[in-house]
Amino acid sequence: MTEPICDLDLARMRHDRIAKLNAALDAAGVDVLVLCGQQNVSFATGARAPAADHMRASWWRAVAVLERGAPWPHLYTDFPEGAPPEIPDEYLHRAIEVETPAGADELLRGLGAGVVAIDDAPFPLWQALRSRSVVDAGVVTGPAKVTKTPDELECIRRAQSINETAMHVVRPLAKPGRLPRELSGAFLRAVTELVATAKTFDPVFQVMPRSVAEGPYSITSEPVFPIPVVDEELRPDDVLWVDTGINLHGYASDFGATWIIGHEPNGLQREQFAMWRTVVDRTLARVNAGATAADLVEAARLDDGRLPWLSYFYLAHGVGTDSAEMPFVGTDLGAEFDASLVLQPGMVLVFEPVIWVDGDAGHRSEEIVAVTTDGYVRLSSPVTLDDGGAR
Amino acid sequence: MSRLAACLSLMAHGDVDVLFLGREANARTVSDAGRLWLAGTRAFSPGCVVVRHPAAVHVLSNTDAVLPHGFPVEHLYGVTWNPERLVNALAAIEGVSEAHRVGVDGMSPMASALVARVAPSAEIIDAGPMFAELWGIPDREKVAGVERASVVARDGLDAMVGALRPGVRPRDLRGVCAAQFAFLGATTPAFDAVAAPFGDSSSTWLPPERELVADEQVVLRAGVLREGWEASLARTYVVGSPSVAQPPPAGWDDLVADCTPGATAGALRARGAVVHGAGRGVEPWPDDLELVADLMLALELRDATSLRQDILRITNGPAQVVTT
Repeated sequence: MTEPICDLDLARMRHDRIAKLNAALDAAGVDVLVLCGQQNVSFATGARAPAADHMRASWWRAVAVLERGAPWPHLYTDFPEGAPPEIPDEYLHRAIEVETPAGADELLRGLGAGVVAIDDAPFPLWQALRSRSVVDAGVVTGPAKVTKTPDELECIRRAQSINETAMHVVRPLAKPGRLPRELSGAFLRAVTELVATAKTFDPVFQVMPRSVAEGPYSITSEPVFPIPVVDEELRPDDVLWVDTGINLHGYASDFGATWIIGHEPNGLQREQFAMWRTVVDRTLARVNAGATAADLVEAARLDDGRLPWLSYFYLAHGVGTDSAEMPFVGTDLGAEFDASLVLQPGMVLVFEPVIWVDGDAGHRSEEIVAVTTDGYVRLSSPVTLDDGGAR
Repeated sequence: MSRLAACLSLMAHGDVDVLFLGREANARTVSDAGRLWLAGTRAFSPGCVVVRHPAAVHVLSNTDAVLPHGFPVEHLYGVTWNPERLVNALAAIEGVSEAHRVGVDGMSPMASALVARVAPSAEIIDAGPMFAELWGIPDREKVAGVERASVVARDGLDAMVGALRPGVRPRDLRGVCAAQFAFLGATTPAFDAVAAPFGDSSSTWLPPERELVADEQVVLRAGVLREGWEASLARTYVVGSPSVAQPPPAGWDDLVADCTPGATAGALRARGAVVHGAGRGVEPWPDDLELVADLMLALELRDATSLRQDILRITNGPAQVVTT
């Protein structure tokens, strides 16, 4: 269990986020922020939209436009009932179909003068913006999103708590003879019984091979993860890597664990978990404002010099309105990038090292903290090992 | 002709050398990839590349386990967080760096700089019109796939109807639908299932948190992606014990009857219908798309008392409603 960060106040959170975006607009010298990415629209306005497949979400997308210094972004949406209650009427509009040239022109006509920042453009909108000075919205959304307010942290903590509770419902079902998709169904049902939430990604219940050579084919010669559920029954001794997430008030959770099917973890599996725990604990000991991502990478390094995570992912990533966002620690952006990334209070870190012993599979779990001035606070329960694996 | 072959043919016709595709439905269309499903939009980035010469599709994936059997592993490029590595991976694809016309299905300032480095002499054009043409070509695999998905979508909606009674929360119905989908083998939705009050002021897409009450009129929507094929349907009910299905909106039967070869998407929209194709996801048909046999049409209509949405298979005779 985790302790509340604050008394959650959603209106205050939305107000604070607009202030952060305005500060970032000032700092970047951007006059108009156009947001077409749904997670960014959610961040800027608090608006809800249905969770949907990529193309559907694109064509029925809400758009937010924030002019520097304005008290609210303009919100253009097909789902007015998802708008926050306090948005002034003059900022709430019917949707503009920016996927079409006519809609793109309509949006463009309403934009104020100056430099435009945009996150993701349907091609007709991109064409329409050719007459304008355009920069990537990351220069605005990056600084605004990378550190979280207490309300934002509390959203993540609550989302994670619900996610953990739902996984406690699912775990007794992870037995020989069951299908991974049954676990998915049980998870999705358990989550909706706990909270009104939107789906963020397909739940992962992946049986790992004992060795990379057993397959599936891996482009990096490392374990492949994550893969969508396969329609094969779980068997005794299976090592199941699980990864699930939910969305609460626009914020993602991220639950990762390793479950052992049909028996208690054996000695090797306990050793793998102990090594995972040691890596995370050593790294957590280095977490505080002012430390760099490179410090965390070095703290996590194994005694033999190896870095214990999948090279195509990371030691840690942030979570917020996106399930993986800045800060990234230990990615293939390289050592220079890690050395330049300085931890600040309010950053969120999801640690997901992997202890892989080829021939004996491995351990992967996830643990989430928020950086404070002198250390961290937990946003997920600490991972422990019991008779079914990690929890 | 396969979807990839049809795509390559359209590329030849439009003198397009390379496609950079970021939208998952488009990637599924040309590669049949079954990568992990993520909800919502994401910023454009080339997750799938189609090259005309030598004809090939390349997919961002660390494994061939999410691709059809026999997909050449040398046509995979790996997950990376490093733009330099992505540039190098894309530029290494044979036929990309010398391309003179590149189609994309989205763009961002960051991606624009990346594409300019990968294909420095290329004119960048919208792949949208080409996909619109592709969606107008009948595809027997699509018919079969959408029909199989329709069975699951229908069962999901039926499960919701079975649980629709006074006092139930819309989110409980969403869970019932998701569990039924998973029971039938599909863990990926086309959208989160919906039970929403039917009224003028709401979209009927976002359920309220409160309990539903007796005699309330609600719209139920269920949509699934089964093996990467989409199907969806919606019905209107009056909540009760049992809940009672409402007749379709006025003009529904006539509208369905007119979904025959030669009708255009625009003509159906002019009668108040919401119209798109169903395939590897939503196919946003243009107004001038003309119906031909074996297209799969998602048709929605509402009036003052009822909303209905179904998937129709266009035939040379009357359209078949496949979500009943």
